[in-house]
Amino acid sequence: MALLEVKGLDTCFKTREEFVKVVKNVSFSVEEGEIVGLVGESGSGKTITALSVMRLLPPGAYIDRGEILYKGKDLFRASKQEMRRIRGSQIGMIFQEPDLNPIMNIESQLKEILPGATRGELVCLLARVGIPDAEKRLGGYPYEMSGGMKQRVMIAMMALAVSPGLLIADEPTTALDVTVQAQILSLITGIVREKNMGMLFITHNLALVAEYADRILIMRRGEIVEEREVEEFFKNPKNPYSRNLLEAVPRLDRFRDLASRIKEDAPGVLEADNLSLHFLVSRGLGPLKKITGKVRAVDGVSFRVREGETLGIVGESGCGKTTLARLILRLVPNGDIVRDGAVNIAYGNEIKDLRKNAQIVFQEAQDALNPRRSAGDLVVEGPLIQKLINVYECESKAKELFNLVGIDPESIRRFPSQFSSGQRQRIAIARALASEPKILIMDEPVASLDVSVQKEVIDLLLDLKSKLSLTCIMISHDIALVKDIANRIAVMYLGKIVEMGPAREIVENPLHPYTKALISAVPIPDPKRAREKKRIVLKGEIPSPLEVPSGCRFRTRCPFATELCADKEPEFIEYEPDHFAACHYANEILEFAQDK
Amino acid sequence: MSDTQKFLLSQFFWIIFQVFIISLVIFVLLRSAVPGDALQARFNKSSEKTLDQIRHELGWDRNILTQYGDYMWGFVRGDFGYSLEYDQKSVWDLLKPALWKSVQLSFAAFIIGFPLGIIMGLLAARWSGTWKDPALIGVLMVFSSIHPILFVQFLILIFAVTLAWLPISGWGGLFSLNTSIPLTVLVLPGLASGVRFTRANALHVINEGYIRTAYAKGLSEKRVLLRHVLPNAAHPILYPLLVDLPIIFITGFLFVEIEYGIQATGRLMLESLRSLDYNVILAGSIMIAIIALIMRRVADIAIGILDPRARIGKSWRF
Repeated sequence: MALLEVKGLDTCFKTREEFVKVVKNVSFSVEEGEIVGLVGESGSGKTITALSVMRLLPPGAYIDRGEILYKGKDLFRASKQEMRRIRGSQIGMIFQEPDLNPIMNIESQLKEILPGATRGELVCLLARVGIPDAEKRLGGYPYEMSGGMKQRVMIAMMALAVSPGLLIADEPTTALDVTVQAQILSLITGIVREKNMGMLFITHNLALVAEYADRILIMRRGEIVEEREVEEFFKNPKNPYSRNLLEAVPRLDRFRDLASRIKEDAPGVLEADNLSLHFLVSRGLGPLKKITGKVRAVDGVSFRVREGETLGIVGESGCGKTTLARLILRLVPNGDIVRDGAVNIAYGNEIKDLRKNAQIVFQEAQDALNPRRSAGDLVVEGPLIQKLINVYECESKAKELFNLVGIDPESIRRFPSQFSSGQRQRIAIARALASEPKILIMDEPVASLDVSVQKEVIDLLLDLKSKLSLTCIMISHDIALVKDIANRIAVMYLGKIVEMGPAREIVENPLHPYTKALISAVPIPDPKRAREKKRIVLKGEIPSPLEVPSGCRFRTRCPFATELCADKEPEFIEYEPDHFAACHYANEILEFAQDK
Repeated sequence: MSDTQKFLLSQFFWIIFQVFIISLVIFVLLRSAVPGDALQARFNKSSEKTLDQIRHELGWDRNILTQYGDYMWGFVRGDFGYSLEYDQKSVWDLLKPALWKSVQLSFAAFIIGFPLGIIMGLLAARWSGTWKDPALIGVLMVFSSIHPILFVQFLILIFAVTLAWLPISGWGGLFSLNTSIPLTVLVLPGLASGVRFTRANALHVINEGYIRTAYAKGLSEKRVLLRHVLPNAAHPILYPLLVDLPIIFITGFLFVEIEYGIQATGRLMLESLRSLDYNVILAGSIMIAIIALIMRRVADIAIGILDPRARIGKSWRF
């Protein structure tokens, strides 16, 4: 008998006008000791399926039909009391956001699931999921922890404390950095394998399923379109939809042919010289004010972008990449900051020239577009203010721009909320391109989009770049994605560039241990290779930019760190042509790679 | 010194500094900006010369800052001067009973009103989507729509006159039947907005991820509501309530005080203002300011206990 068997499940949403079926006749099973990956894009109904099993549907949603058998017992027909006894103790669930009660300390939240536990047992539990300083953390609150730490607490609570038979993990690492993602997933699957639990692993990332799951379910528009063993699936997905999904996953082992190779002698159009931005932390007011610390958001960054080139900037969250973009565009907030260094733009450094010639696409198009103004209005606002067009040309300009980014020009009067997230990002791109800039900075332009949409937007950007001969800076946490669009890549860590070089060179022959770790953390959508791969798992998490480690700032997490690294900050040196790195041992890494 | 002690000490100095500023403003405003001359109004038959003499005796002919310094020197030693209206009665003799009644009544109103509002707010949130939620809010809205002037009269008419359950007027101590009507008037009209605010908070909290987490742990409905929803929904309403409490001293009670015949702070202040009884107004205003400043810190500390996130950052400083 299967551990969990779902048969013909229908889940509906009731709105004012109609009933919408979001899960349609879904059947699947999870065996004991088996990890089943449930994959689909946003809106495919995968989370609702999981919440149906837990009977934790949001208001307005209800299970219409079907059977949910857990160890032979039908959960759909179980009473509230029975369901309560099953949740937590029989079926545990980990969510995308590690949501802990913000005003309860960790100890009381753990005690709710383990009422009789002693303090010592709880400390052991936290230590077991890799929380440093468990003793101190136990009395602490969630806001004092990073996302990765909170997710570890969730794992301790839901998977380890009472060892349920089944664990449902709903996008457990989507909100986390890639380097932390690898840590968390090995932790979860380790526990599941050790205790022979069943696991339903919900994700949008096929590559993660390849690495961690035994069986895969592909879900689309509320239906399961393909169900296979993982190995078989990745050899040959049968359903065309699954095939497209797999194609869209950014991979490190496949390179796109970037049409225009950049000439060596192309003039540099954007130069950053020793840029830094420190936020001051202070206490007190007026004459009593005391500076108590400095957040080194950007700490001495220099680079040059040549005409027509795309520079990719990669790093974990908190490494200062977004602040760097804002610094270049002079979009830094006022307040207690110390700015240093210079940006030199070939098209003029006056603020007026800068706004015309350099534009930015933000991560969240939804937040970047004013919801109360029509899309067309938003798009032409820039050129109108800069007097590039007059009022009578607005409509035709808006239509032209919509055409350019592949949106129906008839929809210029619609509002941002009436577009899908992918379309909204296209509008944001049109907005940035409206004043015909020569430099375009993209700050995680596709991070919040589904993989298939991601690919479309990247294709569009590549197309526009060659059409309009733009010089670009592409900022992202995903090195697999950046390498598809960038000619050169700069890797940032704690406010500094630690390695910079041609994209292919960086990916295939990284010189800095951090770059190596970033690359090895990217999951590969190929089960065989993923499981053979030796992974560099970084210790811990990115340190606070308030207390930057002495010497090499990466040394606290570096597997190769020695005393030299703590004493002396490595210089940023050219090791290969156009390939720079800041590591004392880059030469050794280089030789080792050449030997192989 | 621990952080808490440091906080308390720094707040103590802040309060002193703020009292100094507030009292200076009140003092200067009362002496220079309030129309009419208290002495002239009182002794309008006396000659200008006699008035000048009285002024001189009171020290009102000196530089205003000297007067202020003099006044504050007395104030810190507990000497608030004498009332002009009540035949040389000391200000403290007038203020003390009035303030004490106000403090008792407003705290009683808080202790009854706050839990009542929170519980009904939670119930309304729990009942949202059924007829009970709008029914509860609707009934409460009726009470908040009646002006307190009328509301006191209705209550007196029904419970004191017709049914004769309660005394018709006057003060008989906090735990006497006399406080029923004042407390009802103070609590009931405000309850509608309090319940609606809590209800909105609770509905917001119920949709938070950590509530889903709590359910996923297998906790009972009751426990989730009491341990997870309630504290998160209650603290946003506690702060404004505590901070506003001293204001209730004056405005909230005014109608009740007048109509129900209680000589508390609001009425005393109003009457003193009418008769330009400077010393009472001055001491009363500064007292109320001090109470307001202290309550603000009490609210800060209460929120700090309830919500650990409030312990860091600026909310602890002011």
